[in-house]
Amino acid sequence: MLLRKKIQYGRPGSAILDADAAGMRPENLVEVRNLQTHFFTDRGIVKAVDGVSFAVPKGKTIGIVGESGSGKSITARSLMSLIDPPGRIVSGEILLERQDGQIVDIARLDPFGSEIRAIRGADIALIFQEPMAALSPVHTIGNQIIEMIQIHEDLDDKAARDKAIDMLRRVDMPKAEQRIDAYTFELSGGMRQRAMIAMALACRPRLVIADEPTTALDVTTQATILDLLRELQSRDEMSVMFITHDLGVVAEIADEVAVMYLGRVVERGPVDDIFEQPMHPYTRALIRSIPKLGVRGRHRLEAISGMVPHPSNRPQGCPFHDRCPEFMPGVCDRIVPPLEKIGERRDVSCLLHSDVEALKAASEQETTSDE
Amino acid sequence: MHLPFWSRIRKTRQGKLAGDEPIGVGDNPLLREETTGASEETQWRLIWRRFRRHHLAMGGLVVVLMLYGVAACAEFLAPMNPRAFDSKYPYAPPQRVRMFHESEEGVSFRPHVLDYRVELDSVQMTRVFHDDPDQVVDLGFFVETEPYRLMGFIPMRRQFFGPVNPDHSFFLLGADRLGRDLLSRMIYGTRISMTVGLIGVTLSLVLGITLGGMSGYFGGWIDNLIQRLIEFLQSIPSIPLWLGLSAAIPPRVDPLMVYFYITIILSILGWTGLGRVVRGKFMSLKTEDFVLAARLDGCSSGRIIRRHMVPSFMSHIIATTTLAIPHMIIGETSLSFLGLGLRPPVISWGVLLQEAQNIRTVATAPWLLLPGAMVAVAVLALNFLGDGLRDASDPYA
Amino acid sequence: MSETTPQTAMAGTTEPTLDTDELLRLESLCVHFPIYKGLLRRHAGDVRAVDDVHLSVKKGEVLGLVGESGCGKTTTGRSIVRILKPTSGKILYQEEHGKVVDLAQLNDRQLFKYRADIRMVFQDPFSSLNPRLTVGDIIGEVLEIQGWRKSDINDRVRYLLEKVGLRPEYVGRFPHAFSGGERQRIGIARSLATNPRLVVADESVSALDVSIQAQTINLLQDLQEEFGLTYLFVAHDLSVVEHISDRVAVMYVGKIVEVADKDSLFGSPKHPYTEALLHSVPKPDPKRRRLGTVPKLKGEVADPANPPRGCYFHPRCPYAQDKCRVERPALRALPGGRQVACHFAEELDLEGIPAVE
Repeated sequence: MLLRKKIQYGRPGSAILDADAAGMRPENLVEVRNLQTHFFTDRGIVKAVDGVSFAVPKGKTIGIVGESGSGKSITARSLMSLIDPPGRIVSGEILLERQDGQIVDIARLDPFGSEIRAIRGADIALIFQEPMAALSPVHTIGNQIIEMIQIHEDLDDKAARDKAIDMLRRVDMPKAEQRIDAYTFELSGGMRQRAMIAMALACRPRLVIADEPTTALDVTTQATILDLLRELQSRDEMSVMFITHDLGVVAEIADEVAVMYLGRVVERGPVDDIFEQPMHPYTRALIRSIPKLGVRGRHRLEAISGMVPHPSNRPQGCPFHDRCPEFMPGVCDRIVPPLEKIGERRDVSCLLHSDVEALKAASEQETTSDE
Repeated sequence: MHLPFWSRIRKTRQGKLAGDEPIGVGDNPLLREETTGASEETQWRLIWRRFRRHHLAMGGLVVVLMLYGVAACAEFLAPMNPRAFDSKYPYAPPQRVRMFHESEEGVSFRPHVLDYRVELDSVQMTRVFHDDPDQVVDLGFFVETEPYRLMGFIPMRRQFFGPVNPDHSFFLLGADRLGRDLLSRMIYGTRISMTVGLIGVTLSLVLGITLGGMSGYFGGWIDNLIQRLIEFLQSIPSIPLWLGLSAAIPPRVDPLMVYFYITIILSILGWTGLGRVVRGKFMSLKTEDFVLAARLDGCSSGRIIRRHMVPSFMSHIIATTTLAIPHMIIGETSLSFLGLGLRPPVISWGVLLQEAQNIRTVATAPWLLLPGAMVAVAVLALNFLGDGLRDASDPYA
Repeated sequence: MSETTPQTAMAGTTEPTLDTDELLRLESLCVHFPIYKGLLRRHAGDVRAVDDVHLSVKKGEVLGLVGESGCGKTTTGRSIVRILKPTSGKILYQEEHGKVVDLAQLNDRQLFKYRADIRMVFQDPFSSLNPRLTVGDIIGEVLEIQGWRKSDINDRVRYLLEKVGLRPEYVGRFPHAFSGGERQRIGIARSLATNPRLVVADESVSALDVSIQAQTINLLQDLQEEFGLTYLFVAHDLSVVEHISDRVAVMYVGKIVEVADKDSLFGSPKHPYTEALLHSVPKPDPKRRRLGTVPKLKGEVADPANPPRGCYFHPRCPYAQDKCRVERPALRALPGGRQVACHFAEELDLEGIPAVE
């Protein structure tokens, strides 16, 4: 049993890498390269994340946008090595620059080991969509924040409590000294999310992963939470990975955007470029399809045809080809488009922007060499 | 509710392969049951598919089916008359079946056992059984026996196996205090012990669904009353209650009637758990959107319950029921073991275990504990089966 | 079925009338949920989920009903379809030939007839379809109860499936074989089975994926045009509501605070809550971020069991004055067919969302 676990998780090679050998760019905090996280179910392999590459720049916010089944949440969980069986990280690298400058490959760490536990909370913290599910109902929010602080820092109870109150103040929790002894059910949705953020930020992580943190909130509360996250981010110079399905939220908060579809990043770049000059047909269609405030009169939305396929049933070639308005028969349904660099911090994964002939030749060569 | 999906398994598989087009999923595809190509599958087929993956539960199903098969065909399977006693063989140990016989003509294939030569050990005051090589009891399959009716209506003159000469005795698993064949008695005991569960559970089911359903659907004071009743019944210590209720059974009553009384006693206590489950299901289903939608379609209460609510938890009820049978079996065994339940001449596993009540008997004739092993096997098998059914019954959860 | 609706007449009031273009009118509609406390389950107060709501729905329009969670919009929708019985108030419905009935007074038997006229599309495409029934059974259920012949039901179901963009062959499939978007189409087909006059769509596109949402909104619009339907579109997403609605009503803590046609409401709101709501919506345009001058709302939505004195919105309102703290503003008419519940609607200069393109 133990042996099997080793084979499953302990991927070969050392997890701690030389900064030069890793080849990480200094402005990035995290670089994800060709990440693949698969789920081995009874009915076959579900490739939830299938070759995802992106980088989280230091002190900036990257928005990961995608519909359900795009693998955005699984990507986030992979970053914390929180993939439960039957899923696991199959290949790829998740390089993280730790506080002391050391570079670790999270994909190679034992998900139950002490190294990853030291990273969770201290280097990377997670904010969930549903604070009610993520916070314990039987402990006060104060106790949960204090516990979090004491796991990672050597502080006595008094000092930890002071720090917890300070954290609650920083997330604009009104009456923080009293609210620290409140239970989650005594707080409103917005307050709970603030408590959750306070807990995530308690150990001053360098990266905060926020998985749909405002989806369950009302618009007015969402607006204040987004403001808060933006403010905390610029003050602490932390990086934020913001996962959402809502293009409006991304436009509000992100500096960079990665658009995901069926387990792959289809396009990535600075937020203004993505919204002004989307290069991938999916991004373009997605932006066009959503109703926008201020568009008056009666008109039809430009909907994307078809449905998002099940990840276990992904189409051949480009995953978007069967819904794509610019589908090229014989090309898009044959060749999986690589993520091409088309500018500074700008990538797109579409055969319209690739050298199709070269790819064709390469794939043909591959098939002939296979034979 | 039987399992009408068995016959259609193969078709399902073909249907799955022939999935004509990709159908996507909505909210959380990874957590959702596979939806691709699944076309017109009924819930029962889905349950069966999931159930089949549960190996332990499949094993349980096989064992349970075998036990009921044994119960149904006890006369055919039991090698001896379970009531025929023989003063020659009290506490006779199990006999070893020998396949080959050595005689002057050489070795021949001739399944047999050797009859016992009994000696009285005057020091220990016990009987000592020795194999007697001269007295060969030939065994065979489908041997002739007294005429009987299989399952009550098929006239038969043969049984599955036993001594070729019906007058010979044969103790594969030993004999009891009166020299009766334990194996045959266990086989006959299966009949009572396994059906006590079925009848008891049916009764609990009726009580549980009716009272639990009323409790959940109407709510208010009806709910309050029934819930307090359940709490009261569950708060009574069971053994004193059994004692009291058994004492209420007239002592001269026909043993078969005792059997019915016992099942009633067991199910009076047994329905409470089921009642709670049914109530909970009713309450949660009442606010489901699809039940609201049915109300908006103009369905009457009766139609909502019949068409929309009961089918939604029928599979769950079956699983719960399966899990309740072992309780009944254990209940019967305990009652009978304590002498409160069935009494000889009725044969049940509990009655058989009564024989193993003192330590001396257990020391000298440990095979008398075998009915206990049967109880364990039956209870485990039913539990595995019930667990599997429960896991498989909610394909949409 | 009773041909008369005697309840209103018996109550001694005059026969209610609606304008000819009105389909439905809510008058002083209240839905209160009692709170019981303590061992003796003493009645300790009420959650005023819907509190004195006046609203009229015109024939052939899409009326959007927006507000934050707990504002009573869903409860309003559910009392119109009469899953809930209102505590008080009237739900006046005008039948095809002009007769007006008060749905609030009818019992289940009397409602039967109107269940075919007023239908509902639910939010959750997964829980709103019975997993044990086939698509055909689900859509045809209401027809079966209305006494249609089996073959007619079958034809109708196939026709409806085609109308909502699904293949008629799917009639025998079970809901689990469909994706969320397809299931919602089935739910829409079910609501249209009886040729309804009013469809209450309760957050009907909120649970769908972004790309599926657009398809579904288009479908709802197409069906409305084709069948001349009237929608009460209950939603929290203002961009969706702006897109689909003709008129919009905004609710806050069980009360309507503003009603206006879409362009006026979004372009020049008259209630401070409407303004705050509009400016809280994230805009899918990075250039427009941080352009807003409207301050974000502070504080929490008032507790409907224990609302503040005066205007319910005053603790969060940036323009609140002394009058707002003591006097509750009534919903009153403004020029241009608008209604607003604010003392200072005329004085305030509130910022709307400028039209684009």
